[in-house]
Amino acid sequence: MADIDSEFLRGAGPVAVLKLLERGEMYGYEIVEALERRTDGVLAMGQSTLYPMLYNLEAKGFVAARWDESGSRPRKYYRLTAAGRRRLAADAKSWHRLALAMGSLGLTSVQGVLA
Amino acid sequence: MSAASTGQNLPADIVALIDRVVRATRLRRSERDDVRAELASHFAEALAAGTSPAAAVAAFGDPSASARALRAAAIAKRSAIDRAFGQAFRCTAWGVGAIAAVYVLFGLYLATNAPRVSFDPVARLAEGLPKAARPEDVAWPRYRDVLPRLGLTEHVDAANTETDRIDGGVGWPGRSPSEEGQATWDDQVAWCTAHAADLAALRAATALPVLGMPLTEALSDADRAIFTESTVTNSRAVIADTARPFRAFGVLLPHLASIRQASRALALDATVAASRGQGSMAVDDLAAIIAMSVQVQQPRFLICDLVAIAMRSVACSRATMLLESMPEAFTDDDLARLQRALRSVPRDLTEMDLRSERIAFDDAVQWMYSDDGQGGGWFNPSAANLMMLNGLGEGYPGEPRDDVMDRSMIALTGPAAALWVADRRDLMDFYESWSNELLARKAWSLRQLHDAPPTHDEPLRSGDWVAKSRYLMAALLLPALDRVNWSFAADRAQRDAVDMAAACVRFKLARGAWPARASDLVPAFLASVPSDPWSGQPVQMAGEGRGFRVWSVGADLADQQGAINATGPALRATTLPRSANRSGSFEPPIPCDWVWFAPSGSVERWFGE
Repeated sequence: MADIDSEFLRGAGPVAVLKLLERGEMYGYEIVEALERRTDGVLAMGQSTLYPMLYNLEAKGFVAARWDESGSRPRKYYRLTAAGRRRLAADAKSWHRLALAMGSLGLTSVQGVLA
Repeated sequence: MSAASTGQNLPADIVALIDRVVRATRLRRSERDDVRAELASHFAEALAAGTSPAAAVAAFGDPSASARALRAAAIAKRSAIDRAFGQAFRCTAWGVGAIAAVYVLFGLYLATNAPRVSFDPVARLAEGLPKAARPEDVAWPRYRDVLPRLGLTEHVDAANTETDRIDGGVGWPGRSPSEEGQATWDDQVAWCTAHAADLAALRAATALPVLGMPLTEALSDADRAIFTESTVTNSRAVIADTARPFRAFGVLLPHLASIRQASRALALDATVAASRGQGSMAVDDLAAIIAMSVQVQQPRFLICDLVAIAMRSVACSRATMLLESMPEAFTDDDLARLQRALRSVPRDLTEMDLRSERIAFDDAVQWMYSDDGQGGGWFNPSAANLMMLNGLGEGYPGEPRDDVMDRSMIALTGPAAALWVADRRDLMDFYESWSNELLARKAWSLRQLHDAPPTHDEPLRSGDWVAKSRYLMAALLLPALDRVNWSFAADRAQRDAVDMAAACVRFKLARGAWPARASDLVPAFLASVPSDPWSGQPVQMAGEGRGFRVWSVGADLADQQGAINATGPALRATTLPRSANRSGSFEPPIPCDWVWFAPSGSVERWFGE
C-alpha cells in the first residue's frame, strides 16, 4: 500500500489514538502495534511521530499517563480523560461528515465506517 | 532510575539512538529522564515481540525530527507560568547576548580608535617662555651658583641644616628663641654678615629679565649643585621620553622651594639692614624679593603663581613691620623706591592665567580620549595612561605601568567607561565654561569674590560622585582653583597696603605728622587712594602718633576703627575669611579689621599667630 501523505496522518493520527484509547488504557508500543494492525498499516506511524503526539495529547489534557513498573518491563500507560472523550466525540462527528461528503463525491465507497 | 527504565540493558545501537534523541531534546533533566524511560520501554517491548534491534531502530523514524517534536510537546506540557518564565529567560538571554555583542563590538571600535598624540606639550610650554636677548640676561646660572652657597638646595648637608636653623630663628631684634636650637637674633645677624656677598649676588640675579630655569630641556650636570640625583634623572626622563604621557604635568618645578626660601633669607637680611639703619639695603632686599617673584612666574603654572604670591606676601609683611617699627631707617628716596618695586609687578602677573594649565589639560585629553577629528571622541585610555591619571589624584602623575592584568581590566571596562564618562566635546565644553568663569573673576576684589555665586565646577567640589565620575578628568585635574583668584586679590590688596604705608611714612618725613586723610597723600606720595578690598570704599585712616592707623574693615565687614586685637591674628588672618572649605562655604570671619599700617612701636601683632 502506498504511503499516505504525512499531512493526512497529522490530522488523523490524534483522533485515531484517542479512538484506540476509548476501550481502555494502552502503552506506547501497544498503540503502535494496534494502529498498524487495525488499519492494515494505513495509519502506521513511526515511533518518532507517536510519542510526541502522545505528549501533545497529554499537554492538552485529552489523555493522562501513569508508569506501571509491576511487570517484567516498566510501561507507561495512557488513558482517555473526560476531555479526551469529548474531543473524540467531536472529532468523530467531523470525520463522519467528511467521509459522507467525500462519498457523495464518489471519493469513498465505504459509508458509516466511522460510526 | 533502574537499568530497565534507562535502557542500559538494551543493545548498544538502540541505547545510542535513545541517547541521541534524548540529548537532542535539550529538555530539563526530569523531562529527559521521562523521555528516555518511555523510549527504553518502547524498544524493550519491540525486542520482546521478536523485532530485531536493527529493525526496531529503522522503524523509529528520524531521531532529529523526533527530538524536536518531543521538545515542543514536552514544553507544551509545562505550566503556563513555567512557559512564561522560560520565555522571559530566553528573551533576557537574547537581550544580554545582544548587549554583550554590542559591547564587544564597541570595545573593538575603541581598540582601533586609540588616542592619537598630536602635539608636544613641553614644546608648547617652551613657546610661552620668555627668551633672553643675551646669555647674561638669564638668571638661572647665577641662582645655581649662589643658592648652594646659601645652603638653599635639595641636598641635605651642613649648609642646608644651618640655613634651616637660621630660617627658623627669631627674625627680629630683641626677640628670644621660642624653641631650643633656633637661631638667635645674633646668629641671624652673623649669618647675614657672613653671606653678604652671596646675598648681593642673589639680589643681582633677581634683576635679570629671564629666569631660564631648564624646564623644557633637561637639567644639566651643573644643576646637580642644587638638585638631587633623583630630580635630575626624573627631569631628563620627562624631557627625553616624548612617548611618555602627561609630560606637561611631569615638568618639574624643583626650583620653587629653594627660591621661596631665598625670599625669606632676603627678608631676614632686610630686617638686619634696617636694624642697622641701612634702609636703602633693606629696600634692595625687599625689591629683590618682588623681582624674584616675577621671575618665578615663568612659566605661568598656577603653582608658580602661588609661590610668587607667597614671596610677595613675605616682602609686604616684612616691609610693613619695618615701616611700623623702624621708619627712621628709611629715606624718602628709599621709600619711593619701595613703592616703585611694589608697583613693578606687571598687571598680567597679578591676575589668574590658565594658559599653562590649558596645555597640561589638553595634553592629558590627547592621551585619554580618542579623537574623531570633529572635536569629539570617547574616553579611551590605555592601562598605562590610566595609572598616570590615577597618580594625578595625588597631585603628580604616577609612573607608567602596563601589565596583562591592567590591560585586561581596561579591555573589559573600557566600553562601559567610555559610555559613562563625559565625551571629549562635553569635557572640553565643561573646561571652557569653568575656566571662563574663573577668568571673568580674575580682577575681582576680595568682597566681590566673597559675594560671588559658585563656579561651574561646584558639583565637583561638593562631592557629587555622579559629576565627579562623569567629569573624571576635570575632577582630577581641576582642583578648586577659584581659590587662586582669592590669592591674587589678596596679593593686589596687600601691595596696595604697603604702598599706602610707605606713602604715609614719606608724608610724615616731609610734614612731621601723619596725614589726616588718605587724599592728602595724593599725588605727592601716592598715585591714588586705594579701595578697601572688603568695603569697596576708599581705605580709611585716623589717629595721631603711635595711635595712627590705616585699615580695611576686613572680612567681617564691620568697622572697628583699625583696632588691633592684641591677642589675635595679624594681617594674614584678616586678609581672607578664616577658611573656605572646598564647597565654597565660609566659616564666620574673625571679627577684626585688617590693619594695613599701625606704627604702634610693637611688632607683636605679626607674631601673634
